[in-house]
Amino acid sequence: MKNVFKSIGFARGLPSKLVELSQQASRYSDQLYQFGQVTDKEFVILAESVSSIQTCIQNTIGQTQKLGESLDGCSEENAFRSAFEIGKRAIELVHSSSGVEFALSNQFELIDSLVSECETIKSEFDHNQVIFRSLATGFAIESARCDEEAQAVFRTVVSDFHRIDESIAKTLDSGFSELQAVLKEMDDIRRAWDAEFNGSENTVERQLESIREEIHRIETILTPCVADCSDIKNTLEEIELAISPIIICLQNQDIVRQKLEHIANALNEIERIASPACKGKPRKQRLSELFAHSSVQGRQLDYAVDLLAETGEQAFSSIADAQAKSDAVAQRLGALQDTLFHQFGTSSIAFAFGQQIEELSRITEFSGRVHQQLAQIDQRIVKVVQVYNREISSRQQDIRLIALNAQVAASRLEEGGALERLAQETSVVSEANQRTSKKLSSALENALEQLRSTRESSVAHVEVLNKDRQELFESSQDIDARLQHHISGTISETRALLDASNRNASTIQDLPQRLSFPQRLQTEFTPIRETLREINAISLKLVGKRELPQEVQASLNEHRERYTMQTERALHDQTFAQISNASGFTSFN
Amino acid sequence: MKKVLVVDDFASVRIYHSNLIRHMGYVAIEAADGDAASKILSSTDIDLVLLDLYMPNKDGRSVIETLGQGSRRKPPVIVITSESERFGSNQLSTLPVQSVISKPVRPAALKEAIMLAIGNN
Repeated sequence: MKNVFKSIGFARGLPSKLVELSQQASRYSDQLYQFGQVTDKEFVILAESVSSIQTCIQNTIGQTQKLGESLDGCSEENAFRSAFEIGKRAIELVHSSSGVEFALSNQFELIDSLVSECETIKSEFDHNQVIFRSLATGFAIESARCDEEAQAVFRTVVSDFHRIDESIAKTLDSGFSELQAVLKEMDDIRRAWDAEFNGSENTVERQLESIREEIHRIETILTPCVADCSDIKNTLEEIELAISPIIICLQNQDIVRQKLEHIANALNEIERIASPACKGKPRKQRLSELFAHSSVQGRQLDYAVDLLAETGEQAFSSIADAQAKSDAVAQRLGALQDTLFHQFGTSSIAFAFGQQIEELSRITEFSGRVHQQLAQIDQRIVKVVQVYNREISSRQQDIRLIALNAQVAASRLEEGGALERLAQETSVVSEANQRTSKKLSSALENALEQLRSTRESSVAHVEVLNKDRQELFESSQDIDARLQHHISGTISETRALLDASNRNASTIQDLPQRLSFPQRLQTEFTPIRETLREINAISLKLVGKRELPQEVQASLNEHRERYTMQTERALHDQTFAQISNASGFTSFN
Repeated sequence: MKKVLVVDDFASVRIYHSNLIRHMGYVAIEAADGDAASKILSSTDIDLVLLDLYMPNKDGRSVIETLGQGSRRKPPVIVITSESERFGSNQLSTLPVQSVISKPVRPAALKEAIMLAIGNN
């Protein structure tokens, strides 16, 4: 009994306390609304910081990809491609310059061959001259058997024979002496050309080797740079993924804000039902409502506070970590750019390649002079042979006339048979010389035709070579300028990224000062949590329970982390039902 | 007369090779890129191909791959390239061709390679 009265006396103070607490709770609701709005603004700052880091990372990924492509030999965007092509074109030019040497060698060989053929033909003439001289001797011997008159005639014939023989011999000797002189001159030209070409060839081959080595050196430098870019890009993509806790924190803030509003509504509801629940006769149902509200919302508040504290800490940690890593990567990219600038920023790769084949201009220029000299030699040979042929033709006419006269004189003699035969032989020699002359003319014509054709082709080739070499020089400077511009451009872009990253770093350093919600979570929410706990405890007592029934405890704890509007409502109803159906309620008047 | 197809995108190289081939007594046919070479190979019986590797519009490797397609016979190929085997470029020695020569190559050496491929004319 005493206990009943004691409990009744204890219970009489609780309703008013409950009402007082519920009123206090209602005043906290504004605080909860405002907290949500203020944290909204603070989280906007956080979101903007995240956004700027993401933007920086994205830009750095893009820049790294672009840089990697500009260095990658397999990529269409390779900035060094044109420079390498110049090097390869230089090799092609040197290779095709061998064609100049080849064409000139052919011309030398043709002239050699012509002179050699002329000498062969000369030996035919010489052979004919031997026959001619023996015919003259024959005439002298046979005519000695004739009478004085016939002897006089044939003495003239023999004399003419000697005169013509001397003339032909002189023509042959002077002509072929001239040819020998021409041949000697051609040999001098050939030796000078060989010295020039072979001397240049060693230089050119050395320079080609330099071009190949330089190309290899550049490729050796670029290959690890490409790998570095790929690695940097992968690292950045990993950093980007690691930002997800911050995104989750931002989402949780929104969840918490909604929950706080909901809790604020619940606090107002608590105040609304507390007073009628405790006026006059405390009503079990209303007290059960109060208990259910304070239980569920108390746990909601605990959960919200814990969630925000935990994810806020993760967000700060992640954002600082992401920024530090992003900064380190940006520095790495900057170091890579510096390497590229140091190696290639002011170099003239394409121009150096073009310069390496400077020797070619000497070869083509010299070959031009050789072509002219050979053309002059052709003309001299033509002149010599033409003069020679003219002389020989003229002498053959004389011989034919002499042969005719001798034939006539011999036919008048009774014993002139031998002399007639000699005269016929003389005609044969004359015809043989004519044929040999024609052979010489024909050989000359063929050789000149081939020489002209070879020379034209060679001159055309040299013109193409000169044109290509000139184009190569002109484009090489432009290509180097473009490469340097590209490297400078990528450096500027990387520096801009570094600056952006530095700005982010200083913004993020200020974040903890600018975001006050971690401290406010404790200072503002602790009294509200305490109030709700008190309301919960008092309302539990007023429904006649000293402690929370186990099934209620279990339900409340089970759903702590998975509160949605629906589950919260269901939990509220469940708690209400469990408490209101529990026994032990005492009604007070 | 045997026909030799000269494939190179560099005009002066084509002139050099063609002059040499004509001097050897063969017929020289020129193509400035892989596409032109393939067209000629599909319409004409060619006895030897002198082929550059790196060209625009279908490179030398693509030409090698399409050789012998259709009813045309597959001629021997001599690759003459500005790449250097010394620097390990693109595994030149593994190409399915008669021979691979790095530029620059002297006329005598080129003549020898051609004669080995298709003999005297």
